Amino acid sequence: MLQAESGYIWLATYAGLVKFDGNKFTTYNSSNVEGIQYDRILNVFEGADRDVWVLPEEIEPIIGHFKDGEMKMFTFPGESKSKLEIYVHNDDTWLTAAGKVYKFINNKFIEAPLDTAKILESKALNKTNDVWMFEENKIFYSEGDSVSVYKELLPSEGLILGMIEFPKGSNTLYLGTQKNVILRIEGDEQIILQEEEDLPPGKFLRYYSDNKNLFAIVGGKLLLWNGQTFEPFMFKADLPENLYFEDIIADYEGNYWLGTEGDGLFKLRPTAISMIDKDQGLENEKMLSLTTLKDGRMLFSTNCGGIYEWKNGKATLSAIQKHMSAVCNWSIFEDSKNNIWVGDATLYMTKSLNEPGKYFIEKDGFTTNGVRGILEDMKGNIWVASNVGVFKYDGVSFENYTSKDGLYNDYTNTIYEDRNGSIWVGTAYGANKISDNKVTKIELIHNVGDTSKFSQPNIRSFFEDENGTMWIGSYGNGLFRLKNGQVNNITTEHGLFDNVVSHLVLDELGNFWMGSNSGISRVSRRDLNIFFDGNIEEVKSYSYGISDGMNSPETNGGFTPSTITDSLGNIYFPTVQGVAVVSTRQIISNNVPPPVYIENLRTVDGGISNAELIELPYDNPFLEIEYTAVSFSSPKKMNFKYRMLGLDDSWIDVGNRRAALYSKIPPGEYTFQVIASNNDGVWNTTGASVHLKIIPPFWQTPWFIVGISLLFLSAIGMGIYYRLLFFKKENEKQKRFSQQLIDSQEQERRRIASELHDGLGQQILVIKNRVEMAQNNVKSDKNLDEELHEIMESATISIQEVRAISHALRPVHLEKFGLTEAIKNLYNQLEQTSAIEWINHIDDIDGLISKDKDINFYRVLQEGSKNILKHSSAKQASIIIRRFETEIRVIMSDDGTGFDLKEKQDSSGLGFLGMQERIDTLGGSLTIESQIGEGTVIKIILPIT
Amino acid sequence: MDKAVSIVIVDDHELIRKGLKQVLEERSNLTLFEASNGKEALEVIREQKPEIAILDIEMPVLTGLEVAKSVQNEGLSIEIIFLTMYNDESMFNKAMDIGVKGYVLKENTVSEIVQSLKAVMDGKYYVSPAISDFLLRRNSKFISPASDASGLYLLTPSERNMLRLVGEMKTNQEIAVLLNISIKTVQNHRSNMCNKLGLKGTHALLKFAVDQSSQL
Repeated sequence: MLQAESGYIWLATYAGLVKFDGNKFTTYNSSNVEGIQYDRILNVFEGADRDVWVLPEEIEPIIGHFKDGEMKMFTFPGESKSKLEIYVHNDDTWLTAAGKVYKFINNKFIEAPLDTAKILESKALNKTNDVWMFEENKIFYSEGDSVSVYKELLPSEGLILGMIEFPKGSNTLYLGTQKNVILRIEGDEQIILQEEEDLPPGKFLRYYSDNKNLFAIVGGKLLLWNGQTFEPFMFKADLPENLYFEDIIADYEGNYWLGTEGDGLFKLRPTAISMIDKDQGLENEKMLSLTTLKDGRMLFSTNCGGIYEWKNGKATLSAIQKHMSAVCNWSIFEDSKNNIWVGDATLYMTKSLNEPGKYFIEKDGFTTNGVRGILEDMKGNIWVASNVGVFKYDGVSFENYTSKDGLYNDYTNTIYEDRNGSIWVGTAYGANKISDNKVTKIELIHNVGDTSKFSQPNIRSFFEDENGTMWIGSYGNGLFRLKNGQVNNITTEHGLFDNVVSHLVLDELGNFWMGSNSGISRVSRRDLNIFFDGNIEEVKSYSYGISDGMNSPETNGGFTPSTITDSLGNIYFPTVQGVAVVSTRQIISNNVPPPVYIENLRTVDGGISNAELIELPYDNPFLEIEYTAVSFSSPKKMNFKYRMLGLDDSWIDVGNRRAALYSKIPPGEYTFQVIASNNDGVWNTTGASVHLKIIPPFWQTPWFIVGISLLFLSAIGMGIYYRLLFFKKENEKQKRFSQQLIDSQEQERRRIASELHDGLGQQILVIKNRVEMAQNNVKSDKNLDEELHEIMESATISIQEVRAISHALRPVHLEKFGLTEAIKNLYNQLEQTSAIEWINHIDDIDGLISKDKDINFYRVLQEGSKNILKHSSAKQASIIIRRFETEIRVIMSDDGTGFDLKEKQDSSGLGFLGMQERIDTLGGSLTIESQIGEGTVIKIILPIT
Repeated sequence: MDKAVSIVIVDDHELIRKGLKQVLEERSNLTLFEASNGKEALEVIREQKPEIAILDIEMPVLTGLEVAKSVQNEGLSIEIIFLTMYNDESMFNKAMDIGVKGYVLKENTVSEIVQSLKAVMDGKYYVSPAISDFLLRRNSKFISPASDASGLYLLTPSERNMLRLVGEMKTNQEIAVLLNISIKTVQNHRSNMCNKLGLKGTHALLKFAVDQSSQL
């Protein structure tokens, strides 16, 4: 596998060379490319000219050059013991084959003069730019046009099977040999790193480096270099067991692609979040408070599962638990004197995890039945948030602040010290500040008149940034900013992910990380400030949940301490199913604008080769342009826009559709432009374009018109001619418009259908089922029973209606079972619901019509059958669909009343125009034969491309 | 229901899951598990080994059909009842093809689910009465028509040739041109063939020609 500079990923497979854009695989093999004789391909390389080289599975030394849609083979004299390899250095393409080194010059391979005297290592190692190569048991080094032998392995070591310089430019080489030996060469030093003894010889496959990591694939196993040794690469993904790996590459969006033998291709997306859970030893996963000890260990307190110690990737129940009876611990904290404090029903303190500690009780001046926050201020006082207000402990006695002193409420949970030494207290009914023993109320929500305590938000988190701005997270009221005495608020209405902000952590890049019951989210602080200053309408939140690695999106918040941020920029969030570790440094939004390509152009005559300028005759009925943009992170979330300059200058937003269709473009010159964005909304605004020239008919060319004008200047016919021309133009415009409509209509129908079926339908049947249950419970009351029965009946009818509407909008079978089954189902239904005898024969035509167009074919059959049903008065009707080698032939006929073709031709009553349009989009033809009293035959021929 | 039975309820709509649970909880002797998508369902089935799974078809991650297929492939011993919005013959047939024991329409959950559980526990099939037609038709499809003998031997070589062209979906006009005969003659041949083969109407002959095209 390789990702070419163009962005495409190329795959070498046993069925040919495959190109992949993230959305679609295109296979090039002997069935569709001239010059390809070998479908079994072992390796693929990119040459200096950004062309593709393929290594077929052959004994003789042979390599294929794939360029401009053609494959050219090169064979080399001699016998190859090693596999052929292509190397690229600047503008040079090198190749090793049958013991020799070649350079590709002017479409020919020229054997490079080989300096067999070993070059001086010091000389070799001074250079860092030229290319390292290997063949059989020799390592080569190129210098300009000449090649020298750098090292030769002993024959006993076997042939070299793979080699890589890692890191690039380091002159450190890693080799894999036939004897399954992995060795490293660094100047004179040659170290055997590993021997895979249990493997049959020759199982070393290849190395791969994404410049950061070095991978080796040996015997189907994927190994990762950890600096000392290659160790099995551990996946966090759910991959099938016993995969046999063939290759790994990283694309430039940071995804890893794994090629396997027989199990296809896998994509690994780095997730931002990893979990510490029962797999790491947490018997209880309900995390409440997290803290770091000075020695680097972490402590996690749980909801009634005790306290865990986290060290070296393992969680164990802490020794503190031996001396402490309580297991429901809402807060865990270490002070500057290394005392450990625990908040549960009461307050516990110990000098060491291994020693018995002390519970603070009434005689110490401390009474409460719940401690949810512990904090040490700059002066060394311990602050405790509890059910009965906040306590300050100076090491001797406790001082209690309650609502009597001005707290909004005694139920306090989160506490925070700002840089002035003021203590901020989050209560269930508002935020307070304590400075110099004085409690003040913070008015986050301004109340006019009655200032009832209930109108202030429930506070979950505080954060003061380096500018002295205080940020406050609430439970249900979103996020508040306190700046220069001014209060601002933002909620989901303006882009916040959740109105619950239980955690509030600022990362190194200036993003706020927040935890809520429905996931972790990230918002740029800068955006928030700009929003609060009134300069943008809303902020953009990025949310993280199960698909990003969490066990459950629900975090637990409102306790102090709450989260941990470590020196690597990781933020630890307590959740209901373990600790979620967010690697903030690995959160990279996809900034790679996707390269856009126009892949295929198709007219009624078939494909035309892509060129700078495409010339088409005026009477070409349609032009289809297939385009793509290469992106691998989330191809379904990409967006495209296109326009035809000269015809329609405004961009058409087409979502994820990768084809544009134009029909009967009037003569003239046009530029088709398409642009695309990746999954994170980064646009490639240059995009791709193609120039079109529609050649006018001879009577529209200027000389002809001039000639005609001179000859028949006075002829009355001229007027008529121009009138005709005018109508023709109007007609064409209409057609083009209607074809674009078809596509967008179908998309919209699909959306509405699924919303109806999966949304509204489900709701109604919940109503029905609940009423039925209610009915079972109140059998005694006859009136109520009847009433409920009525409700049930109407719910049943509603369900049926929703089902019918949704089905009519978008036949479910088409998506679920494919075209053939959908058509069979259509005629099955007709047989059962109409008096007409339907005869059908339907060949399997799945896969012959592209997936986004099969609806057009289906609709034509539907329309045709509807006509027979409604207008024909037929006794018998038939639908025959047969698959031939190059086309699909369809006959839809009936023995009914028939009609006068001339009369009906232009009437849209029978929907012939619509049918014709849809068949046009499929590049097929539709003919209608009918006479009054003779029935109707509709014949459709669709080419198979 | 006398025997203790464990059941897993799988539906991505929580309301439906809860409703169903409420109905079933009225019966004692049931151990209930829940799952909100196909993947979770498979996990529960593998780990808890319930005896019956009540599966929605349309679900995120894995659909009910996919779960049923996996269960079949892995040889897990569990009976499956589909509880679905799909009042649809194709879907029904697909479900039956993979060995599902029950097919209950969601709109009839309350009245039918207990019945279907009983039937399935007794080793029987249960299909909502509203769709019993599907079952009848399904059964009749497996009975091959008695007169399978094609009757092709009754035709002359030139008639067979013409039948081949009919099977290639050529019109009378096209056949006439190809065989260099008049349209009238084509029509005569066709009606002769219909008589010989006991077919009524032009459509029947076309269908016959297409169906037999491999023999021509």
